[in-house]
Amino acid sequence: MNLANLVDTFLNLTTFAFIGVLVWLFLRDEGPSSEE
Amino acid sequence: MFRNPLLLTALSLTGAIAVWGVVDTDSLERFASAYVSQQFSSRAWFIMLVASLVTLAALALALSRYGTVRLGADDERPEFSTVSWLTMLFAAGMGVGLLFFGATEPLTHYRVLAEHMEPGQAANAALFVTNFNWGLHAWSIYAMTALAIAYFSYRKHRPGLISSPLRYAFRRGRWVAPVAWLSDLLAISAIAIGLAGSLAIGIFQVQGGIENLFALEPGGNALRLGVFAALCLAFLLPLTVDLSTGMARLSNAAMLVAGLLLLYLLLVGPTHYLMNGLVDSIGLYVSGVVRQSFATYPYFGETFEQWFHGWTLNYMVWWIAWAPFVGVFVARISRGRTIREFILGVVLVPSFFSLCWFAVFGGMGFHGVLNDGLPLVEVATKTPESTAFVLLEALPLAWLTGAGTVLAAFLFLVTSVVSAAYVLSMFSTGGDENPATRIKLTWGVILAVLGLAMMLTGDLDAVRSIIALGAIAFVFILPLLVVALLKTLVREENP
Repeated sequence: MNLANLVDTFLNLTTFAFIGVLVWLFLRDEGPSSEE
Repeated sequence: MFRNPLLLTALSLTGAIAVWGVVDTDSLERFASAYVSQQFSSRAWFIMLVASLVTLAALALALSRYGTVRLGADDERPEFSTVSWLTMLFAAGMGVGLLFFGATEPLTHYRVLAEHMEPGQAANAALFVTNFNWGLHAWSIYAMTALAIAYFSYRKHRPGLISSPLRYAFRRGRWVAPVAWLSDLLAISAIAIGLAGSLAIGIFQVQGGIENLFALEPGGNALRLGVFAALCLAFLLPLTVDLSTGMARLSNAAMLVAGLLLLYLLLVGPTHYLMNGLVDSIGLYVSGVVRQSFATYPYFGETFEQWFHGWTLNYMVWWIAWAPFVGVFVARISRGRTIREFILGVVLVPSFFSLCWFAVFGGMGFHGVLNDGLPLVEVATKTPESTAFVLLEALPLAWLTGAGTVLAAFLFLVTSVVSAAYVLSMFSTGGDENPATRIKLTWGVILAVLGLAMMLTGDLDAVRSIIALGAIAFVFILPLLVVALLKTLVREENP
């Protein structure tokens, strides 16, 4: 595995993780509303 | 001014890139091109997915029951009539880009595609790709960003910042504050670099126009610097005094000139040919948009991959870069509208207008190439800034229409730099709607130096790489904004 491949894998892994974070953010409970 | 860490960081970051670009243009160009090409090869799928899902989310939201939620209090009504609102939306989207790329882009795609298919098919495909690049996706990206800003400003009474939706929707966790801060910073750098790129492209356009009008040798650096100096003078003055109504008039004037130009071309050019092209491109767009939304060309070899990266992917990143800037403006004029009318107005109407624009300018280009044998493809390749003027020369009153194009490009540039300096000052001062003149002037100067750096590259591809360099990180902020908006709607609205 050369360096370019490693960088590519790393960039894609961070993208996958980001998509996971988006789903988690949408689903998680934020607690009571901050509406005054 | 110096106690605001966001302002200081943003000024230092964009200032450093500007100085780098002026001192060593080549190395900035090489860095931007290497970085962007790595990001594009590894994340092309993600960028297309973001753009297409944002488009789907916009259309789904408009049709959903949340479509009746009002951007403001429930009893609020729109400040502007629908007609003047739609006109102002045109003005936001009718930047200098349309003037520049109107004929150039379809002809450039044609050059690549004609090597692989029949001329007629290549012209069809070229117009389709151009319409895709400037169509629903661009306006959905703008609409969703503007919607997030408008919803949290007018319904939740938060400052009109990119970070407001994130701070409001994601309340738990220590990561929220730094991410929100970073999102403001990324929005600022994306706007500053994106606008400076547009400035450079606009200057190329004005220069190309003047060279054509006065039959000068193309590519003169002295003329380019002259246009740049005139532009700096023209926008620094309005930054020192409040000329918001004057700016609105200038922008309307630019739009009027562009609209007249479109009408002139349609009526004086081969009208039936252009109208056939328009109807044809509507059909092509509607039938091909879903496929194209997910097209990433993995099996077509390097030429196609580079073409896709250089155009469609670059545009998607470009729209994302412009989204906070256009978003603030669109949000401001849309207070009191429902989400449904907001999305349908912001997405459908300007997209249709772009379709008409390219059908006329692109159609004129194809008519010149396919019927009259004009060397327009070569012109679009070698001196893209002159394509529109060479096209106009084939019609009567070429001097007048050429001068009109130069004037419209110049006016678009002045108004967009003035508005960008205002939005940048607002974003970097925590949402202050009346930022101090010295902050606006500082941003004006940074925009000018960044624009100068991009102009010095003298090359359209380099300008586009640098724009993408500033915008690519914002590709991650846009989905966060959309999730924050959707989550809050589902949680707190019960229409």
